[in-house]
Amino acid sequence: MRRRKFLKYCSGILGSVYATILAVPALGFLFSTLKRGQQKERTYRLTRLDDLEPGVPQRFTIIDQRVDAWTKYPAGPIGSVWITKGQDGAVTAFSSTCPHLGCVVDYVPGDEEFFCPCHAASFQTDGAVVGGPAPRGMDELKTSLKKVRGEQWVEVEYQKFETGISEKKAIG
Amino acid sequence: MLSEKTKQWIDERTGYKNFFHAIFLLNFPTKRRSRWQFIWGGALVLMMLIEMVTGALMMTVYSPSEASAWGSVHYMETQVDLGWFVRGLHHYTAHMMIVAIIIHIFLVIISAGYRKPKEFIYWTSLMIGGVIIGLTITGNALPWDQKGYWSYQIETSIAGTMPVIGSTLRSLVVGGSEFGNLTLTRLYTIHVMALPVIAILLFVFHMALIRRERLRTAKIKEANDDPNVDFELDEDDPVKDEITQPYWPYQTTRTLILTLVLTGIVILQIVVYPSMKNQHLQVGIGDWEEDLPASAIKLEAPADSAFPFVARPEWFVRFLFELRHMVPKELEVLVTAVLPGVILAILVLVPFYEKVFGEKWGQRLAVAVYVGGLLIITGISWYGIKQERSAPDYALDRSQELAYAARASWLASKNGVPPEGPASLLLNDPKSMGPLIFAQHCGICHTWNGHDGTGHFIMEMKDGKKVKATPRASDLAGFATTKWIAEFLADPTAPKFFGHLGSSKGGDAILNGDMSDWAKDYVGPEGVLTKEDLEAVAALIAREAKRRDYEQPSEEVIQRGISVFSGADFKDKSGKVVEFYGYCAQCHAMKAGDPNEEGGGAAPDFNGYGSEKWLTDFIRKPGGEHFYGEKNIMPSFEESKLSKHDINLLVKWMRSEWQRPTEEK
Repeated sequence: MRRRKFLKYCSGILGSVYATILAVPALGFLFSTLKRGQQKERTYRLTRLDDLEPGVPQRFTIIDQRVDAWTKYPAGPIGSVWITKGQDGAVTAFSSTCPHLGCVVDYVPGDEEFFCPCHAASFQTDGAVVGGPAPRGMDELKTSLKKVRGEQWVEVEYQKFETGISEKKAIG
Repeated sequence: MLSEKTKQWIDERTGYKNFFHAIFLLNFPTKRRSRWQFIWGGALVLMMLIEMVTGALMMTVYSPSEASAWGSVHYMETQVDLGWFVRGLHHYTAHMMIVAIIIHIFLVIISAGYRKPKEFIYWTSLMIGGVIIGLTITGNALPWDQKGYWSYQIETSIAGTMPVIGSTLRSLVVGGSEFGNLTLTRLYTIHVMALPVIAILLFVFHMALIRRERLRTAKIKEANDDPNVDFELDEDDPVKDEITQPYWPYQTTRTLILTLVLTGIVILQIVVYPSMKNQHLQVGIGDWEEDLPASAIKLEAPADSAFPFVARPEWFVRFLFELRHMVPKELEVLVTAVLPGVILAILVLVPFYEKVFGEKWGQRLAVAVYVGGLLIITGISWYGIKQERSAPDYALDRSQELAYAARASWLASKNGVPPEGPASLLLNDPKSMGPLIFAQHCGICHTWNGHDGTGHFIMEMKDGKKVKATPRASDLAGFATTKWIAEFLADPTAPKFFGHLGSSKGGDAILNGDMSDWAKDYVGPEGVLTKEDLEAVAALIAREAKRRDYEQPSEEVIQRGISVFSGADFKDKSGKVVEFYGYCAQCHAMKAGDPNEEGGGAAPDFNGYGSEKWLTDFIRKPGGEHFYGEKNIMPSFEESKLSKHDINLLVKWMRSEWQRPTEEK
């Protein structure tokens, strides 16, 4: 009987070694894919300041290369932003991604508000929530002006944020 | 842990204790006498479990399509944490399983495990072995690298030679007559779905049969030992001496020990050969610079028929491949289709040997056939591999295959795989494609360091023997570098340059033309030009090419070059300004050497000599008025002969312009 117990004990240990050989790589393997898709914020030069009509938001597409795991795609649209030049010349930019569930937000010129067609979230031109299910206002992006060959250009730091929460949190 | 009472409560409602007994063979009777012998089956089950877990993990990354299979495996190897380990475990455990199956069946035969009533147990184990071989063959092709692609080509074409069903079977497996996306999706389905399900069904059947047999034996023995039962075994019945023992924990411990030893060997393999390569060769034979050390190569190059690869099948079907070459062509089908059938029949019929030869000699025959067969197969495979390795071009071919693999891996890590697929990594790479294009179009006349660009020599038949062919035009390695030009100027009639031209039609005019006369008159001991003069003018001309390896000479050297080129301010060996009649600008135009643009016209224009544009224009039309004009004997390579894409790669390669590990883009 003592021999039997000893063997049971051995079986237990050897079995755990076997399980560890499988479990450790398995966890490493699966969890490493969580790192995927993290993007650093990058600055994009989108429009000349003079081309913006004061008070009217305009949508610009962000064009960049995209790496999806092993595939590197040539430059193509990765998102878009709404840029508004105020009457005083100050520039604000919003990500066109709805903070509710990530649809693309439209601008309705007559109502002078942003409107998301998916679940009818609406926002003021300064991004604040007017109505609908959005948990927070539209996500403002950092903008800067840069002088290139005598002309003022608008640059935007494009970034993606988590949707569906009231806090503005960058993905990654 | 649960209290006894709770366990009891659950068991009454679920019967889980019996269930676990059944699954983990807790009270499954085993022979005590042979406890070390019958652990191979258990180890195979545990290894199969490793395959299933690692396989499922890899399914979360792998993508079966021509455009992404290679990329996803490369990603798994390089980006996913422990991906190399998981993939290595899956790969090498599969091979270990084939070894284990061979040993397992051997042990079954020497212990007469096929004897009545166990014939079906034996047959199912053979079938499981067959399925495992099928899994290994399909699995090896999944990365869609050169090795997998080409060995699968051979394996499916072997399947295609089967009489009657062959071609239908092949197109069913391949998904049409050609390899493509459907081949991969089918391969994947067969590998992860069809074969595993068949294996599991066979295994369940196999286990059910073993269980039935063991329980039956145990009952017979019990009845024999029980004095109250009127049953007595014959004196010589082997069951009588059998002492049975429960599987758990006696056999379990031993099975686990064996499994861990085998897995240990597998892990050792993964660590020693992390890149799944035969490392008996190093990259770098020929003119290749290393992009990656051989140990960092994760995969063979992506599958593409444009790149040379000597296809070799997996080791366990190697003998079929070798035999196929050993027999005359008409008999090939005997080897590829009949022989496997015969081998299978010999194995399947083992239980019946004893019917004919009696128990003792029947078993001896079975052992002899099995061991003998293995030895013959090993011998043939070993002979074939030895033959191949000693073949004259083996080392060169293999090192080139490795170099392509290294290049593709490095480019993929650096640039990512383009959406059109990994083959374009090499197809758009001057370093990879240049030598191939050169060998195909230029190598007929020109050489590159003496060979055809890829390291092979152009051969021709002479007196019934294959000999190295004599080149018909100059050797272009280092074309338009200072060294190359200086060497040329020193002796244009050398075999490396115009030497062989005399033998080609119209070549005599060039061999004994103005350039050769010039060298006779002005170079050499009697000539007015010194070695420094030649080097200076060579450096001046080489500057036009703007090659990456160009070393800017001093202003003094450039001035000296200009004086040789234009004849102005020419100083002789004593440093005295003299009249020089052999100046280059008489025939060649080059603004940098002849600021007044006086000369030129009679010989190739040197403006931009050796640059991308100059070379492209020259190859397109060597008889153009800027080049050889009427003296030209080189064929022109128009768009229809050499595409824009290819000429671009060729020219870039000749100028050694490609992405390198040392310089960041």
